Amino acid sequence: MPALHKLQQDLIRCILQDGDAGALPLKRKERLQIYKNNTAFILRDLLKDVFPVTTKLLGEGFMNHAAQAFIAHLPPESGDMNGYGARFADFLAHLPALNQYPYVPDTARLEWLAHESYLSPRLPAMTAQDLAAVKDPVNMRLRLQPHVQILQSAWPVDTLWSAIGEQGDALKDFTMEARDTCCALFRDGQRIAVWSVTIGGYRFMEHLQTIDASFAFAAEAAMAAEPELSLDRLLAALIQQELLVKE
Amino acid sequence: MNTQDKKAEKPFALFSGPDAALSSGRTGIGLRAPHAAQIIAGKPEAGFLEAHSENYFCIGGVPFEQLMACREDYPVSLHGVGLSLGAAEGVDDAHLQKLKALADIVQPVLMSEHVSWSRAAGVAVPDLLPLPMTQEALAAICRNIEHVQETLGRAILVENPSSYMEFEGMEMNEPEMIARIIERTGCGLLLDVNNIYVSAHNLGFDAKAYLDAIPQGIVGEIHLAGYHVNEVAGDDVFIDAHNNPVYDPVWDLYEAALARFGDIPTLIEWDSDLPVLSRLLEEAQKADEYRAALRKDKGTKNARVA
Repeated sequence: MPALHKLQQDLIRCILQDGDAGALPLKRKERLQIYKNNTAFILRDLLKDVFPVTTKLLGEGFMNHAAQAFIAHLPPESGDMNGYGARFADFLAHLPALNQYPYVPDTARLEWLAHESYLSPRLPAMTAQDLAAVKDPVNMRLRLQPHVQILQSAWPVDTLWSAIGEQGDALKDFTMEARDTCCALFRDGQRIAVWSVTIGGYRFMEHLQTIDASFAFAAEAAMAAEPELSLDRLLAALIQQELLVKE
Repeated sequence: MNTQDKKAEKPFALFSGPDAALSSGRTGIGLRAPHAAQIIAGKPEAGFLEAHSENYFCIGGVPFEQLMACREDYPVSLHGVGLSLGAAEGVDDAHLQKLKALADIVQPVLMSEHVSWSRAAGVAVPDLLPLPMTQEALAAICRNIEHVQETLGRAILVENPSSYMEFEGMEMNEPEMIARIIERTGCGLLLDVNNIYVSAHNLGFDAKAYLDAIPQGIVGEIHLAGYHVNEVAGDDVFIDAHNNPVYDPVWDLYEAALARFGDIPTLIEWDSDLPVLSRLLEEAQKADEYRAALRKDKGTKNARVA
């Protein structure tokens, strides 16, 4: 019997990479296939649950093939599977077979952001009264809700996602034409809503989320991208959808 | 060192018997996402709800909100499936800290993990892999359980595994391994009766003899579930799939377990091919009937003695 550590390393590699069990000290080695199948099916189904629209775009057969290749290339690193699949969209972007379907990776990106939004908390939201009470609006600081996720794409993946939805079958009626798209995903109760925004709205949220919470700098970034943007209307929409955190 | 000595050393209570919060005699059910809204709205009769810990690690997310809503009306047990207690390289401390954060909020009546492993060489599988029954594996899992219990500040239960194959060179059998784990760490046993039945068939041992080899006084919870039959290399292998009702031979073994260990809090696990909630509750009621019959039988015997 090899040392436990070596045994576990060899066995887990054999399961994840469909390796040869020949050297493992097992009785009834053929039954190792049960563990291989369990792992493959559970991870494949997990990916299909997180990426249902991508699965519809690819078809079950190709999705199974892509999932299997992804699992072999990037197996889970933790027993907490909530984060497994974060790199699936990037993996799809490198599959030569998908070169003629360039919107598929962004569809997967959008689905991953929806998954992250679903697992994120809702904090008490800033109200219109809270905003009106701010004494120095130019220097105010704003924070987006943790469940707000934003995406920019050269394809209208937000429209595609809404059209197909969870059980819809609108794919056959959907024609994909390149169109610069910005959207935000957020929790509306226990469901995920998608909100198509302009480039200015996207830059505003992007600034708040990734650079700085300053309203003034976020507004500057937004106006630079879209000079005609109405900041009042953007703020009102963020407040109305409860996307800003009450500080 | 006896259990009393260990109790004096630990800043938390070691396992001392089934939790009083689960003494209603009502059987619990696994909390699964498709049933959550119906449970929250309808509050059906169930002894307790058991949640797979990892599904609720994202504090504040939708699943977590559902769990907290359920917690208003039911005792909640947290049952982990990914901690990899039997890992030679130790448990993943980031994972353990997430579990602790969840437990600190939920304050579950029970916490349980598995006598298995699922992580090595920096990768993990979503399955419960068998441990070799060796002194080295015993030492590794005891070390990990002690670390987990010290981090959580409480005793946990560990579940006996279901197995499809075994290793060459075993140094003890499974009941011996489990008894030693519990003696060394002060945790309790989550006795999965379906796992015993499945493993007994797959590995060729006597399920009743296994039960008889488990010491009394260490069982804190019982699991019941349905299995699935697969043919592998010409043999029928029973797979612990949790995708069927509890089968008759498993009910028989459950009756024997109750007779040996007493009226232990019981849970029905049904994870795949999930039925409607009412069907799952029927299965829990069936377990209630076994438990009620045991209590009645014991009452009759006590009356005769008096």
